[in-house]
Amino acid sequence: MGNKMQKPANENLLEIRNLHVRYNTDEAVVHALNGFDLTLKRGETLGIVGETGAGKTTMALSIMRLLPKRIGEVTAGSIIYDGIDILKASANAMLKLRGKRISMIFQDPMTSLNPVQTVGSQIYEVLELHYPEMTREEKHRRVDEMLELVGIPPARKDEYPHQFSGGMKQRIVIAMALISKPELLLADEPTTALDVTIQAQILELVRELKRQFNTAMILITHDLGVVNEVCENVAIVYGGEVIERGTIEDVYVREKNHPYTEGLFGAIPDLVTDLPRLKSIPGYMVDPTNLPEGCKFADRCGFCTERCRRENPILHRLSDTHFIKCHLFEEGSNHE
Amino acid sequence: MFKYVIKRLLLLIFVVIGITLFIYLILSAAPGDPAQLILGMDATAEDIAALRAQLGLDKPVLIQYINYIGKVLKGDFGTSWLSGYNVYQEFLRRLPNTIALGTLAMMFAVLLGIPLGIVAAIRQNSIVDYLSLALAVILFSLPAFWFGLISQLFFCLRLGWLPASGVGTFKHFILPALTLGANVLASQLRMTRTSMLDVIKQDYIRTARAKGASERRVVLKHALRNSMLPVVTQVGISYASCMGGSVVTESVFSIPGIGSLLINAVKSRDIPVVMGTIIFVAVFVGIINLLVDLLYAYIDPRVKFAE
Amino acid sequence: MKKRRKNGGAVSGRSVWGLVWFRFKKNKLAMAGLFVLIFIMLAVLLAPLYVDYQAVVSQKITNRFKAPNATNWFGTDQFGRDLFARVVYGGRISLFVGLAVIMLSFVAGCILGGLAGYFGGVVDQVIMRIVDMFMAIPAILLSMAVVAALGNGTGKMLIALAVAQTPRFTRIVRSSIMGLRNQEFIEAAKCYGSSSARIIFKHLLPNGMGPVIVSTTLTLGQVIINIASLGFLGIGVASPTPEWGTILSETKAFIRYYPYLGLIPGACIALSVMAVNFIGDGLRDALDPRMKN
Repeated sequence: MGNKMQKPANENLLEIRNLHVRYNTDEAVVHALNGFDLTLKRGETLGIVGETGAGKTTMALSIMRLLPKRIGEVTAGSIIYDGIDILKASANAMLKLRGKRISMIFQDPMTSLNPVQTVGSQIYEVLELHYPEMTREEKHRRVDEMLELVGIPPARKDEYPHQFSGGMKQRIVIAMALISKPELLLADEPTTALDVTIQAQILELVRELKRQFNTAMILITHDLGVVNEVCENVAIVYGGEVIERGTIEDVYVREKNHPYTEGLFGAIPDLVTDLPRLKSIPGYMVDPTNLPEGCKFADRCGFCTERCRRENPILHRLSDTHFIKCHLFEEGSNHE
Repeated sequence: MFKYVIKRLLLLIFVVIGITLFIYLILSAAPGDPAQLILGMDATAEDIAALRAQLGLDKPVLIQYINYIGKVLKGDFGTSWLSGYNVYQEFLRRLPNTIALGTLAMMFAVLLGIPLGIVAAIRQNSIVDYLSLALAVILFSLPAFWFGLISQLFFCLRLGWLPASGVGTFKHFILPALTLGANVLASQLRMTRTSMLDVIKQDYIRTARAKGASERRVVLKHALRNSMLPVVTQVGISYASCMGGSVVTESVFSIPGIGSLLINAVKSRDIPVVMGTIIFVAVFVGIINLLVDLLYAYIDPRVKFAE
Repeated sequence: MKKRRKNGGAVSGRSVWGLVWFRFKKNKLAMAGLFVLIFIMLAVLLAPLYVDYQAVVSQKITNRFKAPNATNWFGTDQFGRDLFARVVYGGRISLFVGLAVIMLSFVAGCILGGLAGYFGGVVDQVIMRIVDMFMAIPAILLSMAVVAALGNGTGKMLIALAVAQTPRFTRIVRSSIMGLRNQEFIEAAKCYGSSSARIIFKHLLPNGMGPVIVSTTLTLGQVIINIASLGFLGIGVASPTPEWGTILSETKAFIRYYPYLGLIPGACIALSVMAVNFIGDGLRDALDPRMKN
């Protein structure tokens, strides 16, 4: 929608500063986010890449303020969405944001639809919640249009989720997320649970609709290839922190990367060059119940020094767009 | 669906035949001659032989059973060996009491247990939750006959608010229904709470929240119907167990129902009455379960009757 | 952030049960239940050491209806018998018959359910149809019918109750095994040539035990109540042998004037059953921590 572009407020739609989130479970305290920083401009498409457990989903749920009750706890930091302080906003204010201005697509389309309601009514509900002024006919028409857009015959709107395939369910979830034309779409591994061929279709659909609606998007994935296809910018996450951020070019040209990012690239099979075998990153994901004092990647890093163990690096600026959180890139030092 | 119902009813007939055959066989294998039992110790041998022939006891057990079932299928449940009354007539006379008792108990349990369970789940770990759970454990642990005796002692004999025994008015049924329903209330409450907690953790509930639905709407529109699925099944099971529990409750409150009939029949090994009661309960439970399954399919669109 | 969920699997038995015990210990109600149950069990088990059985049966009419006092802790009944002695000896029957019933039906259920769940097909069909048949009658009615057939007596009642509980265990064991049957570690066991019996007893049963154990505990409570109910109805343990239900059935005519005669035996049943149920709940939460929080 055009009017969003005319807003005088600053061009950052979302600013996450120093966010700390932990989960207090019976067995342990899990430190999921540990000083997570992120800014997102209007209309920007940002890929967030990291291993399972790096804190990607936690970040998305924090933005929606949907962390599991009683267990999930924000211990420090702030999330500012278009001038609204998400962590301090009233419950009512959040209801107006969720589903209208910020939408989310979840990982598993198999379980993210209510099994006892028709798919049409589940999409319709978004309009019912956020557009009370719309007439019934108009809402139904919008649902039909939206279904058409995501490639589901509107005639099937009275069917139940179990009558659709996984890919079609994800299309329905996308319809649900985009029918309110949100400013921000959080897509949490939207294609991980799907077949490769379906993956490509869904990504294409997301990209197309995003363009049409001029929605900003955060695409969460563990797949560097997917990011390359869909996003303009990318942030690499490790141990609940953004450890590298830049444009696709900055990162994918592979001149200067965080050692972890390099490791991620090494773990992708390359069909062009004929490498003997994939390189995996040695060791395991940092234990979020027992975080080290210094750099969280130190244990697995080939360039690890005494300093890395002692002191968590700050985000070093390599260019206007490219940032890396590693002592190797401290001004004056030479990485090669 | 019609075909499904027919199939289930046919299956029910086999279940009834199976269970009655089992009981008939062990009844006949048990020591002691029923004819002797009926006529008493001083009966003559001829009298006993005559009675045995009259009751068909001189034939092989399997033949006896087939004869019996043949008669039952024609609606003839025989007569009580002990008191000579017509079992079927006696059932018809006592049935309304048992059904009224069971239904009232279920209503009390469902109308109180399900809402309490929902509240306990959405206010998990609150005072309401703890109190409901404590209530459930206490009610679940009290033996019905004791609960009945104590409440009778207190409300009827001490306070004189309610009649202590017998039937007649609605008031007569209040305490028995509470006694019988206490246990069911406990299991309804817990089942609802567990199911609700389980549903609330599902991804589609998170989706509903992400759409901007309020907590109230999430519970009422998205969680409730899903969480009722196992509860509905539990209602069926509970109704059946009410039929069992009514034996005890009827005895405590001297209600002339099926249960009190069975107790005397068991004590005196009055086989036609025991068999009749078992058949009645099996059919009743079978029909309740069928209705529950139909209701389940109505709530859950995933269930289809094509097998 | 996804939490790691492990599904039994190849984790060594000790650490799994260690974890269960760790969680169980944190549950105050469950621990209270465990202590109460152990206390009651010891009290009734060691009864011969501190109560003379004569006090249970010897009648002394002049001593009747004594309210609880220093010599007769629970008072005396209409025959002047010491209620404390009767309750303590009665508990031996209520609790140990209950345990025996559970063990019998548990073993039978594991065998039948294990066979049905593991072999599937015709075996499963036959066993489960028979189970359905027995499930068509509420447990207590089925027990009564069996008692009617076998006649009165503690041993016969035990069998009657076990027959009535077996179908439930069969069902739970079977569904538990069905869920595990196609999991990878069973496939793996088949691959290196384990025999059927070995797979059932070494792999399937231990891994599927969680729900079975919980339901065993909760059923124990119901069985204790059922024993007492049969006693109360006069078709369980025959008097003058004391049993909690039988005691109540004998004294019920007098509780209007001597409420302690009714309150005390009933409270013993309720307390034991409650303790068992708390333990069962604690076990459930400890075995399936996802239900909490």
